[in-house]
Amino acid sequence: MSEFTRRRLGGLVGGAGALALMGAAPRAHAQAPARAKDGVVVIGMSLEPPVLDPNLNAASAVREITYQNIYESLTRIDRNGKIIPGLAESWTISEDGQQFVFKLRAGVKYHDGEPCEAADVKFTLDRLSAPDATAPGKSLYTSIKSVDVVDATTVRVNLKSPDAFFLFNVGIGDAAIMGRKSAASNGTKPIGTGPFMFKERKEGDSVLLVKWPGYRDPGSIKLNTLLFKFIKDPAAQLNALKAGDVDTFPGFQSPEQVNQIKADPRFAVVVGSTQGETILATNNAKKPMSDLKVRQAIAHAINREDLIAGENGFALPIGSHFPPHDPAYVDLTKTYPFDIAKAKKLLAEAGHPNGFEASLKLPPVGYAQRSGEIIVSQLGKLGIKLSITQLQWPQWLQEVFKDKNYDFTIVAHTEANDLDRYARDGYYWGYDSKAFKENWAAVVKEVDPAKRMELLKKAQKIIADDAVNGFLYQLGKVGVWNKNLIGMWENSPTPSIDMSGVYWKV
Amino acid sequence: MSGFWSRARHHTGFLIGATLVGVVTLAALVSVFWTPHPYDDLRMALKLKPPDGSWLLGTDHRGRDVLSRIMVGAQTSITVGLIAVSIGMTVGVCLGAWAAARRGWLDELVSRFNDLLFAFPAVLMAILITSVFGASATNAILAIGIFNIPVFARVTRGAALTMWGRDFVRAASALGLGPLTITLRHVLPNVASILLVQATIQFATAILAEAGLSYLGLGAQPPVPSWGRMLYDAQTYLYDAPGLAIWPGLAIAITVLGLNMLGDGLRDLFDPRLRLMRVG
Amino acid sequence: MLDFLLRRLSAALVTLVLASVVVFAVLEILPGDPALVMLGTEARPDTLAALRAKLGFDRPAPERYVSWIAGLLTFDLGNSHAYGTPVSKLILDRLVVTLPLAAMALSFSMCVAIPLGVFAASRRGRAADWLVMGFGQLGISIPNFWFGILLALVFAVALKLFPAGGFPGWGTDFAASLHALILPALSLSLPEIAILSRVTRSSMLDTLREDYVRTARAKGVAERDVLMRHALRNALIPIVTIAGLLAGFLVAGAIIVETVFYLPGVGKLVFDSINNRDLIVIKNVVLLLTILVLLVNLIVDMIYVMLDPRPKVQA
Repeated sequence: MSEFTRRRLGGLVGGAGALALMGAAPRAHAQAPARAKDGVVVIGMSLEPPVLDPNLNAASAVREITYQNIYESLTRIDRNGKIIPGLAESWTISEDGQQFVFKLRAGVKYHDGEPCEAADVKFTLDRLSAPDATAPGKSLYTSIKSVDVVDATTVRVNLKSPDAFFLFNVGIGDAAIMGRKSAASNGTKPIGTGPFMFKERKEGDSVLLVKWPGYRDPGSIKLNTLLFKFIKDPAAQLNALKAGDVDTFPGFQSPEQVNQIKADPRFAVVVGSTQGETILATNNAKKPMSDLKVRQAIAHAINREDLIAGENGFALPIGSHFPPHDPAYVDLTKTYPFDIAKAKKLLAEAGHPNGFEASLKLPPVGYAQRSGEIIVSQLGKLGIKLSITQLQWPQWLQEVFKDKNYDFTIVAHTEANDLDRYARDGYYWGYDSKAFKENWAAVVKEVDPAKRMELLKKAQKIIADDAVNGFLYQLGKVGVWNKNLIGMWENSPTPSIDMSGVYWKV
Repeated sequence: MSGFWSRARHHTGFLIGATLVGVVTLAALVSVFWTPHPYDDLRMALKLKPPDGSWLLGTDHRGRDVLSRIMVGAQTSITVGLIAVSIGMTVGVCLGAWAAARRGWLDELVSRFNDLLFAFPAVLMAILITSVFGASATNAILAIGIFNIPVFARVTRGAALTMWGRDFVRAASALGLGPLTITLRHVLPNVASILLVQATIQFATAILAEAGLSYLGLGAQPPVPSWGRMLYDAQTYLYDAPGLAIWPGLAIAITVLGLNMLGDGLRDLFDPRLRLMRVG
Repeated sequence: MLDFLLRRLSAALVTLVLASVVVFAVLEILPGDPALVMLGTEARPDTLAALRAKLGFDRPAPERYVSWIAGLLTFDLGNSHAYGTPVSKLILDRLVVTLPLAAMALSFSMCVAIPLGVFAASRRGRAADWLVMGFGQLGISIPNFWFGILLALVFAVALKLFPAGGFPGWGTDFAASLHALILPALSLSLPEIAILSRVTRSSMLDTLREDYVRTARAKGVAERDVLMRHALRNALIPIVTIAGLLAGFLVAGAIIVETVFYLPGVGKLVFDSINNRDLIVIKNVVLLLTILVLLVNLIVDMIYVMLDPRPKVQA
């Protein structure tokens, strides 16, 4: 044993530079301070990104690693969800809201030395919205009619119709501006304009980024090395934190284990907000859930307190599909308060006094598994017998989301501004409401913030009254990090682990 | 048969095995009608309680009684094992007996099929099967059952071939009896004891396999308790409640040990020279 | 000899072809569209179709099967859909964890099981014999993943002597990597030790009954020398055979033990690629493992024939 310890400590002392440090003495407690001295951070993540190109792959882990670290977008979403300048230092909007002119920062370069110009912006936006584009976020950019290069640092985007969400959508990871020469290989060898550049990847294990000396403001970047380490299993995540192998889990997925971490003086546990509305998604197109009374009965039978206790308290109750931290939020949790007697009465009126049998198809995520068992027990009290099927993501996407072959599922909708799903035809809930669609069309076209807020509130109310889905809770973002690591994002307004402002306190 | 029982009474291994299997079976049967607490009652306020007078083995991360869940878990294990072995045995015995009776190309085909199944890492195939058809107790049964087929096919074929060489079978054949009749009347009754012994051992293996699959999340689905899944969940609380990681494993070990001892005992009692296959 | 080998080899080849067809067929009916996985919930139908065409999924199945096999024969396994990197690199990265793990477990089991079996045979019928046999019975009854959890509980959680899981990587820290494999290898070797010690014992008992051993004893050769020089050397043949057969099962058993200790081995690669519907990786890994098992069986057959020139009829 001592042999091992000695050798590992030897590696620690002798290991100059980040790479040697990474592997040396993974379990020695003295390690985190040593990493702090060298500006190294080991970041734990639950999910591993596939290709590192957020233009072309939907996985949020891709954005978490690359957004603001490797790539930048035209605008930028800050830690509170505000839109601030990104690669574009300023922009103007035409009177009718259909023309945006972006002025790019001058002298910005890619990691490979190529300049970042208006042509790259046009290339990227075309890559997202052209008819033959294979971008997963294509539907976010359908309002784009054309993109014109005015000069090297000026881009004009023409929209088909006003789009209140356009500035947000060009600020997220999906719209990372890629170099037209390097884009093709960005999946395996990402090249961007951000402060960190890609160094190495070990599939199934880690991604290594190092500080890029050519960044336009190198003094503002305090860290030298970022190692993103993928640890899927909750018990393994806890092990890694306790052993000092990992400095932070920005999104810790296992609330059950938080008490064990809080007991450790090395770590801070910070609970922030996410865009993740967790819902008991209901197939409105199928009997008997197509009956409003049945859905109301289910809404009355849901006890959010228990569900949130299942998340160890790291969640906020919601009564509609809208995040509580948004200024336009209205509290609708009392629309159908927890009331078993009333639920039973409604169910009887709908013609199901003894309940019915239905399927609950769960995706392979912690919250769905935890809440799934609780929901089965809660609806069981109405006589609604749910049988659980655990699906892998690919099956869930195919069976539930695409083929709509399900009765109930539990899933968190983590995209920002995703209320528009209720206006979509053929979406997996099978919800079709003329009132909501009209209201939503008005939301998208409304450029006046105050008026838009009123319309958004009305939208929340319509779906709450219709009890489209069981609205359970807003997923909390449980961030765990070393107490000396300063500047980590508390909230998650968009999938991102932005490390550009993070530093070690020494 | 009276000779069997009088010898059995003095075979320690057989007796211990029979007792262990008896206890587990009894627990499973009782749990159908009664458990100390409802096995699926979620009470978050009671989670991770250490063992005491009313919760003999404590509660799990959802506040459910661990003892009750282990009892009901016995049902799951026994059902999955029993059905899987029955499937493997039915198909395997038919194939093996048929191959032995017909020989020639059919025999060759059955042997190739056996080789194929043996060469495939069973866990991998089970993972694939449950990925295709979804994770459930039924599909775990199917996966385990399939991998029992070659075991029974080989054992049956080997034993049946010996029988076909015996004089009384040759005589029956000379009398003009068809292969099916001979197989049913003379061959199978004489290989029944080795099949019974093999089935007991396979039952033990099947319970291990079921535990492994449900540990990987590919077996019975919650809220139905299974020992393997309980072990997986327990790993999250290794620091908080180490006991959770002990009881379900002990239940598996006791059941499998009992079946193995029972199988070895049966072999000794029937015929100590029987050759068994042990496939993990 | 040559004739026998050729027959075994051709049988193995037939098995391999069958296996490739089965794997391919299973993946054909595997629900879940890889393109949908890559593009997620916001994908539009036309985008999906375009990506599927790009990945070649719109070509007929027989054509894809043939091009897969053709690629295999030229050692070109293609690129992973999920990572975009060569499949051969992915598999190689994982084999350097799984193979050492299996090798470590196999050497543990040989080192423990053979002395144990010899010891039990030399004390036949006495308490020590019963103890070893009892341990053997217990060893095959305990699920090795549970044994792994217990080891982690005692040596990682309570005593803090070993890591409870994870793997630093050979290149970054060799000693710590070796250290991280000890508990997994121990838990993997438990059933192997149980089986091997029983085989050793019964094989020793068989050889001890042979005439030359009795002659040696009668000549007054020391009991220790009888056991080691005469009996064990001959008893080793079946022991090596069984150990070889167990090697195949070790690889499969490694899959589940890797999960217990969170090791980035072949098992994790299988799970990850099934979850990503990285079909090209799954089929190659499964086939590779099948080849491995067949190869081990073939080598065992060869050793058997070389050690014992009498022609063996495979049961």
